[in-house]
Amino acid sequence: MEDTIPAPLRVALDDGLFGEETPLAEIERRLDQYFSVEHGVTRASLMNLAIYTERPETLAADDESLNRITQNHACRALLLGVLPDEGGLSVRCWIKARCQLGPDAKTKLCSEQVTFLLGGDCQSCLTNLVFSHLRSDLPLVMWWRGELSHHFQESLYTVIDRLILDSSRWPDPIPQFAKIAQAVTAPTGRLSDRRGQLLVHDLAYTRGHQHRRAIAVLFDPPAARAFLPEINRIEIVHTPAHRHTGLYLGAWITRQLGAELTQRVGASYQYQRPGGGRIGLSLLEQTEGACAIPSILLEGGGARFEVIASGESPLLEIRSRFGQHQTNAFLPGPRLGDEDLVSEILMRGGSNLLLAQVLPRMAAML
Amino acid sequence: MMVAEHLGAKRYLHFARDRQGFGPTAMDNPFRELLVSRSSPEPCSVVIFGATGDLTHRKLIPALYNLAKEGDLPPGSRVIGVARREKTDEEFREELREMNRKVSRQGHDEALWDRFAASISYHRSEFNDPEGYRGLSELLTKRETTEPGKPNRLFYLASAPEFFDVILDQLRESGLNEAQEGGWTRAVVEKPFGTDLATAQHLNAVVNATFAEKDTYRIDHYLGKETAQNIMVIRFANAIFEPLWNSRYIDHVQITCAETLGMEGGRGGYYDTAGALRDMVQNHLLQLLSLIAMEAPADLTADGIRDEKVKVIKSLRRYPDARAVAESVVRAQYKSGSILGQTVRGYLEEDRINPRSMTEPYVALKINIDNWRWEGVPFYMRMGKRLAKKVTEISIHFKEPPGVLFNRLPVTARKNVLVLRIQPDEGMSLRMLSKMPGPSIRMEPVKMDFQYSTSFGKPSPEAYERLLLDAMAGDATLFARRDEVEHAWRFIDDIEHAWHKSNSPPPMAQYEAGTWGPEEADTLLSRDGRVWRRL
Repeated sequence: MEDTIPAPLRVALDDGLFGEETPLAEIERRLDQYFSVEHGVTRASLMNLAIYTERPETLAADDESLNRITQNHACRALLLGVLPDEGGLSVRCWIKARCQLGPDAKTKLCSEQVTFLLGGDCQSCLTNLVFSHLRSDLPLVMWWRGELSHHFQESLYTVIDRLILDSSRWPDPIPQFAKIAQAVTAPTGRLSDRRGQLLVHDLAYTRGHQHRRAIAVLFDPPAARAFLPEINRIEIVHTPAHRHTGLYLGAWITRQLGAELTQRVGASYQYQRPGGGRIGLSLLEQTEGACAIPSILLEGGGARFEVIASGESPLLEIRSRFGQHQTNAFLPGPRLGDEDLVSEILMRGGSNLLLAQVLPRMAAML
Repeated sequence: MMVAEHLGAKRYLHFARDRQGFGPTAMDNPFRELLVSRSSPEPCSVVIFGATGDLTHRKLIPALYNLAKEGDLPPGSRVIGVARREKTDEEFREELREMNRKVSRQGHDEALWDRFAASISYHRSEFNDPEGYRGLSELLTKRETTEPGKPNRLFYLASAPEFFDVILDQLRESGLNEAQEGGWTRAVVEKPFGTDLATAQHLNAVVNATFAEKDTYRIDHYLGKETAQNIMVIRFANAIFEPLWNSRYIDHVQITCAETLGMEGGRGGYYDTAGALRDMVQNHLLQLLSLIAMEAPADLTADGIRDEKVKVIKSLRRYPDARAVAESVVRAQYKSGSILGQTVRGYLEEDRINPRSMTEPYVALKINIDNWRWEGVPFYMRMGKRLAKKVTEISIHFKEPPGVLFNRLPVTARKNVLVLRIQPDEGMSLRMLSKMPGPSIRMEPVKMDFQYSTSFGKPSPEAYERLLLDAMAGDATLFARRDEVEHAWRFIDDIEHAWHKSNSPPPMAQYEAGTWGPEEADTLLSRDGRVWRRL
């Protein structure tokens, strides 16, 4: 295993970033020991949260992500790094507690973290490692970094309650979405307490949440809704890394308008309304911008509705113009960091039905 | 489309539709579908009467600011403060800014405040001056026609209660209670909703002569607290509690609302006319009791829930005479004492308190609910000022298990107790017996504890944030209905009558400030073989 550890990770290991290296069989005992000798410490846990990566060089960054997430979400954190296959199985693990002062400024609230570095082909050991280090009765949330590899197998995903992905980082998304479709409809695993199907969260979709809220606000006034049947042009501007967020927004808007995709030419899509009207949807790439989606425009019947992320402002501006009405207002802007998005997902919970309905339409636009 | 089918899209979509059970455009605003799980608040003009008061400065404006910060305040909403003092819009905003800096739950962001404050204006008027209401009407019309938003109007009565009548009358006389075309008008009425049944009925008559009951929102901020809302979730979303939630398994229930504060800050003037029974029990504590005791509602609509709460209040066994009140209700005043190392004055020596006052800063009650579920289960309730610590909680005390096997052994605290902590340190705990490690069978009580602060990352919103949004959304679930208020007063009036109008009024007990109340309150339980929970 030592030969395959990338240099940045080796530095992190030397610095003791992941805590105390512990024999696999000793993990739970040593964690218990830690909490039994530390006074004024609360071992808080609301869920099991695992981050999985096959790029061990990013483990230090993933560790920092856990640091930020656990500030708001007490959990048993599992950090799983898989080294490239090299034959033979090897596992190293570390434990540490992440503590912060509670609201009373006296009690320390601690999440516990177990970091695994797996070498060799760990097809079966990965699932078993996860199984054996979960806090019982608490849901398992897995944030899968990168593409879904052959390690994303049925024995694993059938025990996950909530799967977090980021499709915008996938070079070849179509087979990836196929894997998700398979996982979502797979029967629940016999070891899972989950009642329904696997809940999938795509960060590319979550990045558009505030934009969806902003569009909903634009059409709250009944007078604005009167123009919905007239909308015939939609323009979504996205930055290069966030085409998927733009696609999701386009898929969502057209779905809510009841329109069906009939034709695609490059980044332009034609939709047909049930009543016969047509909608043209264009995705435009803009090279600069802090926000994934700098602007969205819905137009038709002389009305114009816009959501604009202006410059470095943390806010979204909404503008509407129809008839004699002209309004503009500001709403909270989108969260930018991946950890913020994951935090938002964990905070909001829910069944995420909307993504389940939008995802096939988005996939059809790929 | 082929791509999507290749991906199993049809199957995925089928799954999604099955789960949802209705088509994609079922709601008025299709973009709201599945986006939020609550009713959408609509933009409106929030007109606050009593705009220079503490409630507006400390609670209402910071709540609206925090809603704006979260993006929950609908764009196009505006705030108009109405009060009698002369001041400009700028002066009013500056006062609000200063207070927001101090008390805002989410901190104070100047840039955001400036945008929010631009929607705030001030209107000076005497509450009984028709000209003032004409001016208010003109101001509203002007702002509604020149600014974005809708002609929705939410009138918030945050003034002293003696002005409620005249404000409501003037709103009606000036026609401000009438909904504008394409909009609605609603009224939020702060407690107290009267001082007895007669005044409550009068106030309700005045309110309903001005606003329809469906447009009337009687605010009880306790119902906006997360833990109060959580009572129904705990009871009806878990399988393990409801089967035990009856007289077969529950021995008794205690509801405690203890405060360390006395009459600081000039509050004695109002308090001495109200007392603990009318100030807290009639509204907050009876609301908590009804949530604990109600049957499962048929649905989660406002009236579905309130119908069940009203049934509880109607089932409270009334006290037929002063003797019955003396047996089941203890009133008391605190003497001087010390709290947290500070010497404090007795109630009768407090600022703005009549030295011969017969008002009670402490009350303890034994309440019986005459219905099938709660037959024979007393609900003990206590509320007091200058007690040992600040805490509001409900504790459910279960009956002892059969006295065989382990229960032959001597043990303290044998009963299971489920505690719902309303404030501070919101959460719940369950006490149970456990074997002590060792070769002998020795049992001790242990506690399973759940705390909001350590389990959920996001701090709970202030009660007023939730309630203001609900009023804007037209959701009256967390507001008191007319019949609820009047039935509560019917129950309270028996006690007030025995205290103040009977020939043989029950005595006023005393307790030392900083303790847990008078001995008479302890006797109220010890007579039944019970004790107050040690907090």
